[in-house]
Amino acid sequence: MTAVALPEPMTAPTPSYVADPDVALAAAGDRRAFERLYRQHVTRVFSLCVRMVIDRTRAEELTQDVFVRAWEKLHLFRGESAFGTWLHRMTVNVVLNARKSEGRNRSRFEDDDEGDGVDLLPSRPLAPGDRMDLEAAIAKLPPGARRVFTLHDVEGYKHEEIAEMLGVTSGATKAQLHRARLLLREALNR
Amino acid sequence: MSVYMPLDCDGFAAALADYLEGDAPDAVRAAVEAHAEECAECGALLADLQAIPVQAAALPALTPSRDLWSGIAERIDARVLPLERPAARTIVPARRSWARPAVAAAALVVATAGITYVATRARYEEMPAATASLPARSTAPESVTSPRQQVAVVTPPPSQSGGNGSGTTMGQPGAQRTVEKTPAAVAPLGRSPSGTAQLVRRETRRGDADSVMSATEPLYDREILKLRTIMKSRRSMLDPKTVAVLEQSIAVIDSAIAQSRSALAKDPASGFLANQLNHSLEKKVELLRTAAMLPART
Repeated sequence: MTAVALPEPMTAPTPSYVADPDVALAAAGDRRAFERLYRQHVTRVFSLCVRMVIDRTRAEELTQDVFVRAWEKLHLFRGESAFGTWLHRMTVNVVLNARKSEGRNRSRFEDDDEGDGVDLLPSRPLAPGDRMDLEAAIAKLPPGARRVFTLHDVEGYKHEEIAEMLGVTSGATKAQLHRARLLLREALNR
Repeated sequence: MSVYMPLDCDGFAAALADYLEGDAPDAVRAAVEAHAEECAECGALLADLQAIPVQAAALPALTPSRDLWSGIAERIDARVLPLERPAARTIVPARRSWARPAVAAAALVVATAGITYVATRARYEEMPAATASLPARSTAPESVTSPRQQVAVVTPPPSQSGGNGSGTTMGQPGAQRTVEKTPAAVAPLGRSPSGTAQLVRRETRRGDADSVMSATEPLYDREILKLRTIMKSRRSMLDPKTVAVLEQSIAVIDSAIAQSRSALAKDPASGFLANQLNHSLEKKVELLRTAAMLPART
C-alpha cells in the first residue's frame, strides 16, 4: 500500500495578540503585564536606539519614550504582526522623529550628513593593535550611513522599508549601505 | 554604470554594490566572481563585505545602564486622558499652537471675573439674607430673568473691581451680562484617574461650595505635587524653549488659582467661585500631565 501524505489541516493563523497573553492584558490596562512586556523587549529596543543615536543616555530616554508611546497605542495593536515587530517599528519611528525634531534645533554645520566619513578612515594603515570591534566601528560611522546600516544589516529591514522610514529612495539607501560597509571594513582593518 | 568584461579592479569596484544587493545581471555577477578569484585584493574585499552583514546580524543585544521601568511607570501613571466635553458646551476650543496660552489666559479672565463678582456681592441666586450684605450701589442687578436660574453679573466700576485691571474685558463699568448656571457649565472637568472630576460634579450639584473645595483640593494638590515631581525629573530632557513656555503657562494658571482662592476665602459659599477654582486647578493638572508625557527634547 502506498502511503499518502495528508495535507496539514488548515488553521487560521494565530495572531501574536492571542499567542502572548501579556499583550492582551496590557492592552486592557494591566500595568504588570505591560511591565513584563517591557522586561522582555527592553534590550532589543534599547539596542536599536543606542545604535541609531550612539549616545547611551539619549538612547535610554528614547527607550522610555518608546514604551510610553507603546502603552498609549497598545489598544491599536491588532496582532497582524508579532508584538515585537510592532514595537520595533515604533522604536524606529520614535528615533527618527526625535532626530527630525532635534534637527530643527541644529545648525547646518552640525547636521549629520552626508559627509565622506573621513573621520573614520585612518590616515595610516591600521596596525593590529588598532583594530576595533564592529560595535565601536558602527558608532563611528557618519549618522546617515549608520542609520541605514543599523536598520538593514543589524535589524534586517529591507531597503524599501528603510527608504519609506527615512523618506528617501531605495537607491539612496543602497548607496549609503555600501558606503557604510566600506567604511567599516577600513575601520576593522580587514 | 558601465561594466566591461572581463573586469579590472575599477570595474570590479563599480559593480560591487549591485552585486552585493543582488541587483547585478547574471553576466556581471559572473564577471565579478571571476575577478575576485583572480585578484587577491579584490577577493579579500568581497569576502570582507559579505562577512560584515553576517557579523552585524549576530551582534548581541545591549543593556541600558539602569532600570528604565520606574521612569516609564511614572509617565504612564500621569498619562493624558481625553477630557469629557460637557454635552451643552457649544464652544469647542481649536487645537492650535496658541490654544494652551489662550486657555491659561481664559482661566485668568474668569478668575478676575470671580473677584469682580465678590466685590459686588452679586449673589442673586442666594437667599435674601445674602443680598443684605450687598453694598448699596446703583449698579445692583435688575432681576433674575429666566426660569433656568440665570444670574445677572454686574461689572463694578474700576474702583471696586479689586482686580488687576483686566476686569475691563468683561465690559465697560456698569455693563451687565448674563451667565447661565447649569451643572454642566459649572463643572467642565475631565476624567482623571483620581476621580476628581466626578467628585467635583457630584458635590457641585449639592450646591455646597465649601464642601466641594474641601473634598477636591487635596486631590488636586496631591496630583499636582506628583506631576511636578515628574516634571522636575524630566526638565533636563525637554527642550529649554518648551520648558519656558510650560513655566509661563503654569505661572498664569497659578495666578488665576491664587486669585480664585483669595476670592473664595471672602465668599466661601459661592459655587461660582468654587467652580472657577476647580477649573483652574484642572487646567493646571491637564497642562502638567501633557508636559509629563512629552517626548524627550521635542
